[in-house]
Amino acid sequence: MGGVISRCGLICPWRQSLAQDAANPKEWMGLGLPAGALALLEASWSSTHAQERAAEDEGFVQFAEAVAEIATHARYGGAESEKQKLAFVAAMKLDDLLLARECAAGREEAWERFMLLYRETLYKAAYAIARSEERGRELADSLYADLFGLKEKDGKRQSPLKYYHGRGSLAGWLRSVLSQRFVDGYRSTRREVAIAEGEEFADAREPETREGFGVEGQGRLERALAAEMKALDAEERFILSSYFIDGRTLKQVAGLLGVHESTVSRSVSKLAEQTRRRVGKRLQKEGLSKRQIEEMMETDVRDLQIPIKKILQGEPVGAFLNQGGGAQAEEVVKGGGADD
Amino acid sequence: MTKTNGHPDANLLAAFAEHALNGAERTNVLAHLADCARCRGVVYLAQEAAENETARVEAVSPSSARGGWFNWRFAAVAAVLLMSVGVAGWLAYQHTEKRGDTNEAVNKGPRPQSEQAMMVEPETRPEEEKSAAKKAEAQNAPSPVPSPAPARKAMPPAEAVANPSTGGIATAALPAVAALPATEGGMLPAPVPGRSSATHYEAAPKARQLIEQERSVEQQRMQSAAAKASLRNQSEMTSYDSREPVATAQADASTMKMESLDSGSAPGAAYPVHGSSAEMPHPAMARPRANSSTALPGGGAVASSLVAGGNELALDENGKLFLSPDGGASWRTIRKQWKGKAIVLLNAPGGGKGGAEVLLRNESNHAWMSTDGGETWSPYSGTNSTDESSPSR
Repeated sequence: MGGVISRCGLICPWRQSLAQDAANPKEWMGLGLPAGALALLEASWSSTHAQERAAEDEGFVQFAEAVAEIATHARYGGAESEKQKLAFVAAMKLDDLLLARECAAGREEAWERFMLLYRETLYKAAYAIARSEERGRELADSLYADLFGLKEKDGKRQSPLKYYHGRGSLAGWLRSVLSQRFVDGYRSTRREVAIAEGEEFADAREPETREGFGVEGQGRLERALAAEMKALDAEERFILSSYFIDGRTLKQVAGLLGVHESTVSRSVSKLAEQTRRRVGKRLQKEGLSKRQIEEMMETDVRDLQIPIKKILQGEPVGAFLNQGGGAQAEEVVKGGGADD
Repeated sequence: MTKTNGHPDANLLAAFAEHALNGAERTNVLAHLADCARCRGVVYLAQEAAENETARVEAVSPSSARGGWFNWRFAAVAAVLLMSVGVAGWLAYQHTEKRGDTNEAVNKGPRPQSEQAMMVEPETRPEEEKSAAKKAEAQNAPSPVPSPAPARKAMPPAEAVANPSTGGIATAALPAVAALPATEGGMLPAPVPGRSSATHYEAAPKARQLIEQERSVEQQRMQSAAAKASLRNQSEMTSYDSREPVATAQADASTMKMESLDSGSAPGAAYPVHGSSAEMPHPAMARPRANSSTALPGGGAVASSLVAGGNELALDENGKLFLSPDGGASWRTIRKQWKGKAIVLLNAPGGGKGGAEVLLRNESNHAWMSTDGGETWSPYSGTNSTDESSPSR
């Protein structure tokens, strides 16, 4: 679409007035952007392109096309009305998106600005993620080279920046990409690292079984817990997984959910009690006595944290006291959910 | 939901961590995160990195806790200083107000334009003025009235003399005014409303006593100035402000007459501002004269005085003329030979007959001349004068 438009102005004289075009955006290059969206784009454009008129610059056209493509691909976040669609565009980080697109397109000015604004952020995030300056630098260097476009395809530099969609901030996106690379690299070498460092050696151990508990009893409890976990909604499962499996703090969980720590704390307590009660009822229906159920859930029936944690980790019930975690547990809890 | 290999891409994960996703998208990502340890690890690592960076920024930011405390402390110190300055300024203002009330009781009227001339820098004046002022200061040294110089040290003597009423055109009269005795205002200029506050604020700790003495002297002069107010009101020559102290008004009156009389000797010539003979003190004016503290036989205060032909002449507030042949040691009354109430004595143009010629003017702006040092008076025709405001009209 961008190739149709040129700078001459003769081919597209209707581009002379962007404000007029913005009033009827569907007529403007057929982008399908909601009314008023072009004004937002122009504002972002003007912040770094004071010398150039937005409506006459090819770069702006490409920028508008990118926004339209991203918004359409995301279906405007489920928005239906024009107002909701405009709100979706307004919520996008248009300044960051413009910078990323121009960097990906190889504009030197944009790249200099990116270095000025985000190079330090990139390296600091890498150090924090890797928890090691050496590994962090290596991680950051690798991504930095990719961002600059050292990889070429069909004679054109390929930069991951063109995959930035502006849904979150560019800094957040960079941190997420770094984290993805770190986690993927860590997981690909996890067994070697775990054995070497002994961090996850416990995962490889055979699960302990409680004396007198029996394999059948373990299976019942396991199924009951899995069923109860499936009955929870996404946020409840996320809280339990984060708290009991990942060992995240209440503050971390609350930070991701955008709520207060006390809210998460209450949720954890409520979910633990609720799950314990429901699992007990389920096991009771299966013919287990109350005493047997209590034995299954450890002596302290009021505290279901450890049993829940173990079950969420997918380990056999007999391994209640096992402090380790394992990949096996994930599959049980997920029940074949989407994962790698 | 955009996914790569079944996982949400970095865009969605970053947007989720920043709470930038709406309901449906957030629920989808959250459902995936609940089941995917890998993506949870990604978002938690990104979150830790963001928090780490934020904490580092706060550590070096001036808005951190330590920086904030320091800021508050500096702000508190600044506030205390400001309050101190404010209180001191208010006290100084109160002091000035109290003084201003005393002055305004006598001097009511609009602020004179001549005040602008007070702001003239001393350096811009001719050297003659400065030297004349210094000379006058030296002559006034033995004055019984203490000099307010310590209280107004920021104001040079010449300026201090010229400030009260000179205005733009009266600059030429500065030497004459400066030559006045201190008791007649030569060293005691009227308070300047626009400047007195700061001046007194500076001087209050040092010269409060001097200021009190000055105030009492000024009050005495104000009383005598009341008698002169009519002169200024009748004057058609200038717009001198009625708030001027009597000594300066007297000097101005002399200056006015000098102007009109000088113009008689030099017809058509405008009153010179600088560089003319009028800038030099008149011989009669340069000699000591009776002042307000001089005791006249009638008991009245001296309203105008001159030295003519070896005699010292003095007019009291009632218009009586007294003559002292012995420099003020003894006085005798001169018989009234003029009409109306005499209000001012003036030097005759050119100081004829060795300064023995002197003029007297009454309330009706008519003049009489004496050619024998004030003994006998005859109507002054003023035929030489071309000035409409000549007292001989």
